[in-house]
Amino acid sequence: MIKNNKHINEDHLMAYLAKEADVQLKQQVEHWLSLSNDNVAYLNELEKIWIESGKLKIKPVVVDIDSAWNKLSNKIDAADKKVININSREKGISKIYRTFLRIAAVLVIVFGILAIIIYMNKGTEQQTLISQNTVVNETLSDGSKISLNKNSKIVYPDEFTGNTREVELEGEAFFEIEPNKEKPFIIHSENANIKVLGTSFNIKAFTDSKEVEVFVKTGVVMLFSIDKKTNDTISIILNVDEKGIYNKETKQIKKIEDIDVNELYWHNKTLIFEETELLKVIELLQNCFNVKIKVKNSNVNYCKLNATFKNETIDDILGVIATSFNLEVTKEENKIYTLDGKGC
Amino acid sequence: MKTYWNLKEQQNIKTINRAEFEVLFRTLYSNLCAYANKYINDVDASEDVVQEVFFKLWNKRESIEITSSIQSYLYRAVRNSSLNLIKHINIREEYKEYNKREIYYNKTNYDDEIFATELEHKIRETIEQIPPERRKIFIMSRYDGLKYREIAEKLNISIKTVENQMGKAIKYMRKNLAEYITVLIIVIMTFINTLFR
Repeated sequence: MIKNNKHINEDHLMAYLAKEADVQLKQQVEHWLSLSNDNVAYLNELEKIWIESGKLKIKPVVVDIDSAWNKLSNKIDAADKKVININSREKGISKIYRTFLRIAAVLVIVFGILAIIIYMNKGTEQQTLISQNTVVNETLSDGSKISLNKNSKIVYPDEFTGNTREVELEGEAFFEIEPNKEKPFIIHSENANIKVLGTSFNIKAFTDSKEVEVFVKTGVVMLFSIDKKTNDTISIILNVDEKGIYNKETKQIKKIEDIDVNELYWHNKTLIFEETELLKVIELLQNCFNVKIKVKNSNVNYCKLNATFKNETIDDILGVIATSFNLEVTKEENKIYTLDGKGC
Repeated sequence: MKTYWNLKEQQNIKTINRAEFEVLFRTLYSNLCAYANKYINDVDASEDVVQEVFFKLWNKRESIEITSSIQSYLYRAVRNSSLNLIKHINIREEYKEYNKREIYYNKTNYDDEIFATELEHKIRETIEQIPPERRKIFIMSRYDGLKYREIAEKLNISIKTVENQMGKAIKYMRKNLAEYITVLIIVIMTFINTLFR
C-alpha cells in the first residue's frame, strides 16, 4: 500500500531502483520512504523482484513469436506441397523405379551439399606443419616462405581470407613474407604477436623457454603483446639486424642491437667469424653441429679466428681451424673432438 | 487468450495436429531461444536454430521415438544444434567461448541448469506473460543493460512511456510473485532476529 503521497507510484519507484532517477526524483522517493514503514516495505518488495530477476541464469531474449510461427508455418506448408507434388507425379511409375529415383535424388543432393561444404571450407581449413628432427620448408598461399627449425610447429590457413594473414607458431621459424600493405601478416605465439608488411626475420618461440625472440634480417617488424586482463598493448619496432625479446614472465619487451650474425646458421648454413675467440667459436660449433669439442690447452681458447664457412662439415671446419693455428684435431667416436696445441 | 501446452503431461507427439503443434511452439519458443542464445550469443541465429528444430520435429513426428518428455527432447535438440553451429563459426573469439562453455555445460545435467529454483522458473514464467511490447522494454532494461533514454530512442517512443511501461511491468511482477517475496522477507526477518538474540 502506498500511503500519504499520491505522487509516488510504481513508475517512480522502478526508475529509482533502475538508477534512472534524477536528483529531484531521488529526493522525492526518499522523502516518501521516510513517511512510513509500509512504504519502505513496499520498495523492498519491488527491489527484491528487481534483484532476483537479474539473477536468471538464462537471460530472456526479445523474440516475435507471431512472426516466428508464421515463418515456420509457411515452411511446413511449402514442404507439404512438395511432398504432394512428388506423390501425384509418381502415379504412373512402378514402385521399384520410384524408390530408385528417390534414392538417386537424395544421393545427388547429399553429394551436392558435400561438394559445396568442401568448396566453402577450402579457404578456411587450417593446416598444421610440424618439424621433428629436420628443418621443414613450406610456401604459403600468398607466396610467403616459412622455414621451420627442428621441434617446431606452425598452424596456418589454406587461404588467407579477411584483411589480415594470420598464423600460429610454436618453436622457431624463419619467415620471408611477401609484401602486402593491405594485408599485414601476423604471427601469434604465446601472448607475443609479430606484425609484418613484407620482410624476412627469425622467430624463436619455444613453449618451455621463458622468452620469445624475433630477429630481423630485412624490412621492418613490429613485435607487440596484448595483456589479456588489462588489454594494455606494448610494442616495439625492429629494424634490420635488430633483435626483440619478449619475456613471458615479466611481460616486457626489450630490443637488442648487437646481434651475433651466426643466429641464422640453421637456416642458411653459413658461419662468419671476424676476430672471434676460439672459445666462442667452439661453443657455437657445438650448438650448430651437436658435437662435443674438448680443448687440451686452455690457451687455445684465445686464438682469434677470421673465416667464413658455407655448407661445410664439422670435420672440414675443424680442419681449417687446426691448420690456421697449428693445432691437432683428434676424433673419438662420432661426435667428440679434441683440439690440442700451443695456443695463442 | 493463450492456451498453454501442458508441460507436465507426457503428450503423444505422433498424433499431434497442426493447431496443437502451434500451441507447443508458442509455449516453448521464447525459452528455447533464450537457451540457445546462451551458447550462440546471437538472438537471430538462436531463433533460426529453434525454428529448425521444430521444423524437423514436425517432419518426423510420426516416426520419432521420444522416451523423455517433449520438452526435454526439444532442449536437448536445441543444445546440440547450437553446439554444432558454434563449431562451424570460424571466429577465433567465439571458438574460445565455445570451449569454455562446452566444458562448463558438460559438467552439469542441463535439466538442473534450466530449472534451477522454483523462484527462477516462476520469474521467467511471469516475464513471459507480460504483454510483448512491455516485455521487450523490460528485457532491454534488465538484460541488455540499456538506459531508459536508449530504449526510448531504439523503439521510437518517449522516455515517459518507458517509465510507465517499466512501472507496470514491475507492478505486475510483484502481484504474481507476491507469495515468493513474502517468503523471502519472512526468512530474512527471522534470520535478522536470530542475529540479535
